[in-house]
Amino acid sequence: MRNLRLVLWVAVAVAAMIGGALLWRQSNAPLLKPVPTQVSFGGPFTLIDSGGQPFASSKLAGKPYAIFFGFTHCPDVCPTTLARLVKLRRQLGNEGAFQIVFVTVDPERDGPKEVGNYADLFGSPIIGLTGSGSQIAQVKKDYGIFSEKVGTGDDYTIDHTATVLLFDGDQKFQSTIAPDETDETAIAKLKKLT
Amino acid sequence: MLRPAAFAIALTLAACSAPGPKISTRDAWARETGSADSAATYVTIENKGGADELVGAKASIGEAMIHESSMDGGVMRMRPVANGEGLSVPSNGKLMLGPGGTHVMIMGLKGPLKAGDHFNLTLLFAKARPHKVDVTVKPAGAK
Repeated sequence: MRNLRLVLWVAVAVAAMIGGALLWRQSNAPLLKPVPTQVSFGGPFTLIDSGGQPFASSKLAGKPYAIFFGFTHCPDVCPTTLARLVKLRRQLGNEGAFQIVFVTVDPERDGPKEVGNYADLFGSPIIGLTGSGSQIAQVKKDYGIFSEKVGTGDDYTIDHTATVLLFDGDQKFQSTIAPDETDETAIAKLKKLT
Repeated sequence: MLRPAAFAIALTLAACSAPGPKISTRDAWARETGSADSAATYVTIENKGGADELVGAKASIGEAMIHESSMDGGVMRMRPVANGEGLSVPSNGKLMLGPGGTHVMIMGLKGPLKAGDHFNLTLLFAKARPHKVDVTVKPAGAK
């Protein structure tokens, strides 16, 4: 009888210790959580649309979007990429499947009119955006975009990240489309957004 | 430096009656432009003869240069193909200039290119005579 009581008290003590340890762990849990290693891009921005009006990124919410950074004097890779996005969107059978956003990395030459004309060339809705030098610099930073002016005078060109970034309807970064990826891969990624 | 050697080799080959290049082109097109004053032109060059090199181009509507786009860690870079450095048009083969790769860049356009427009492009080769090409302007959404 005495032994049993002792055993029970020990059991209670052990239980209390385990419980306490669990509670302590839980209260410290946030500190123990591993830092997420997956890189993420994006974040809210306010730029300027083709009408010269402020365009807040919250306007994109509710529908997925593909965002691409380029410049209107870019004769090869930029139109090729935008044409491809338009084609992929048609392949998904729905013009409204996702939004296509084009942001210039050349605000010096690309004002609202220039990005607007450029976005209108593709025969399908594309949101063309520009901004002040500091607005563009910030959005480039948030979206992990590199760009660098090459050459001087009016004829300069710009080396820039040619990867398309994909965001879901909650404006969460999902994946990317690289220029050398196949259409099949790109379509699969776009389908996952919706 | 290599020129005299190449010339000597060319002479030797000529002596063995090496066939000259036989150039033809197809699918020459350019993309419609917006407010930009430059355009990329694409063309497929076929050669049914001996090897040649594309060394330059001239356009009726602006200054033409051969450019190369290349990917470097996700960053797209565009550079002129160095002066005097030709692009190989292999014997009985072809050289394709297409989107996202090598193209003829036309700069200083006097006005925008509209879908349905045509213009002349002359391709310059190391051996073959200059080859005139009729370029069709296609909608921006063309691939």
